[in-house]
Amino acid sequence: MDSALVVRAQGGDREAFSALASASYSRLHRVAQNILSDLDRADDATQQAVVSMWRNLPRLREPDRFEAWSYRILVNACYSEARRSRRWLPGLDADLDEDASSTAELSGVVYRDQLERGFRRLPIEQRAVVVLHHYLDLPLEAVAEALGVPVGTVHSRLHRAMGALRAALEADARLPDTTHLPERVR
Amino acid sequence: MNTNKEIERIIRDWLDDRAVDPPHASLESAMAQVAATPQQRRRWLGWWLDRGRGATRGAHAKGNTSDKDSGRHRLMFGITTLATSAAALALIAALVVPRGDSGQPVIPAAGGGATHVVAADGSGSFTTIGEAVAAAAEGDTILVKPGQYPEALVIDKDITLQGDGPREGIVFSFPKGGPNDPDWGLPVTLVVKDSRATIAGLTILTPAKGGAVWVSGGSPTFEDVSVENVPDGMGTFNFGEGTSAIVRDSSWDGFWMIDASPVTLEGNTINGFSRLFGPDPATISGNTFLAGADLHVHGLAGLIEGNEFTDAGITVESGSDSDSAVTVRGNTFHDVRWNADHGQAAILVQDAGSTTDIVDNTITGSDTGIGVAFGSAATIMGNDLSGNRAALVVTSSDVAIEGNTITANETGLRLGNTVEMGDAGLQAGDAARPTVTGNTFCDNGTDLEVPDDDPNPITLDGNEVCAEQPAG
Repeated sequence: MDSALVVRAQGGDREAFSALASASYSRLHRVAQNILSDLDRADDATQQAVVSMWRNLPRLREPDRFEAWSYRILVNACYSEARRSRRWLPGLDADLDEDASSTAELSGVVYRDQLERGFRRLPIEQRAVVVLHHYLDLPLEAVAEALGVPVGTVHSRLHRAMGALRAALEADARLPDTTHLPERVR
Repeated sequence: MNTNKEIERIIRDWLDDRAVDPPHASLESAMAQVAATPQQRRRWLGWWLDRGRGATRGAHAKGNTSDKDSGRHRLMFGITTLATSAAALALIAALVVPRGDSGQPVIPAAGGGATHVVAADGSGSFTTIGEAVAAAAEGDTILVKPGQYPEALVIDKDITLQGDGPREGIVFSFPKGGPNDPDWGLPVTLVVKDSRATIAGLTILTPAKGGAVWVSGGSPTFEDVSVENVPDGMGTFNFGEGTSAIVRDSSWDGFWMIDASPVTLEGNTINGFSRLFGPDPATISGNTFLAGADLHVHGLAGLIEGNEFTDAGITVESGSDSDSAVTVRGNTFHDVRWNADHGQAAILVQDAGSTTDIVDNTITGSDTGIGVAFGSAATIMGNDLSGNRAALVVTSSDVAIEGNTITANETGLRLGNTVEMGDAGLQAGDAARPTVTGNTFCDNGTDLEVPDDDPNPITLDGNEVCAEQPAG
């Protein structure tokens, strides 16, 4: 990240900020998609995050940390979006498509399906840790910085999330040895 | 059994495949919002702009007249006066009646300031409100006669703007083709800046893709004001951070937002979705919330009392790190139906960091009466819930349910069993451990519904249950 651009943007240079935002927008959007599991909501969250970055950029004390700072703002926007858009309904059963899992063949479809189910059931705080660590490949210390929580908290969230995803993958013993599967499971 | 590395690889691949390139318009939309947003904007504006995409920036006209305009007005007044047969009387009047900044004769106001009269038909001292505001000094009163006033106005002094006639006949609107406010980057009919002005007895129209009344700084009071929305209007009342807000006996359509402290809303008729931010005290009492006029409070400490909600509800969402506390007392809710906007319940507490007191409310004919979810704490006491689909739905543990009358609902008290659509899936019902004491459950389809294999018994004590289900 070009710190000079960040400094210019902090001074109110919209072109500099536009360059910063354009360079990172796709990545941020994909992170939001993964956290929120919804393209439209990711769209709203990413736009909200970009506006928030622009508004609050003068408060960023260390321009070199723009990227981590941008992740924090994005994750907070995702939290807000999730809170805003979630629907709380009493007395309904989970809207899960049980037929799909009972008839699916042992293939990538099963993994995706099981992962999707397991991931959507995770609290959003755990999803954020999984995405920042396993999608962006951020070290846990960087994840902690991005989320503004202690590293221990990141550890515990990741541990719980991975346990839940493992359980989802191994549900009904559908996850045998994967060495026979293609490198990228689709 | 797969190793952790294999699991991680599968997850990484899945995450890689799962996200797609964002729509091209997404970045454009974001940058359009950035273009319309000054840096270090007050914290609610981003969300505001997010609701009303497509805002543009432009030049600004305060609506206040220039010195040159005032001079022209003085000249016109002089010619008119001299041309009348009462020129001598006017000369005498000029000697004894105090003059405002514009040189016009003014009437002393009760509070000691001068009074300026605005009439669109030319019968007053001014024909536009902007001219009068420019001429007024601190403490002055501007009386506005019935008429149409297409002006973009900025009030930045402590004055009283008072309609002189039925408010529906005194209509203040954004001028066609008028410029955007430079601070907001949007068309705004009335901007109040750092002022303790009183605005009363007027109708204010919201411009398309703009706001009706936006306040930054100060503590203005609005009384008997009607704010009417137009298609594509972005909102009505908006009080920014650092202001205090008093709105009484007024009515408004459309989205509104208050980020002020303290806030007092009394006796209003509200027809628009709202968000209130805290953390300082708010008093919201005696208002009528019409269908869809849901009240969302975030981080707010305050009292919501004696209001009537028809197909509109309250959501308390202070944030888990907030110590703000809200009391919802003595309100009446009826026919609060689920919809995509307000969803939920007549009273929904979620993500609240402090205990919310829900006391002595009456809730009838609604899909859900009171809901407490996502780890929130609440005291639900003395409420009367009848004829609802679900009277009480609780998924949080730290909830006391005491002395309520719960009758003729499809379900009286349900613990857990909720769905968070599109988010985390099924919420575990056994997470809820409320204390349920001294309530009356009668004639509900199901009075108490708790998990069958609950390993941690719920405290049930002294409840009166008229149906078959036993209670403690």
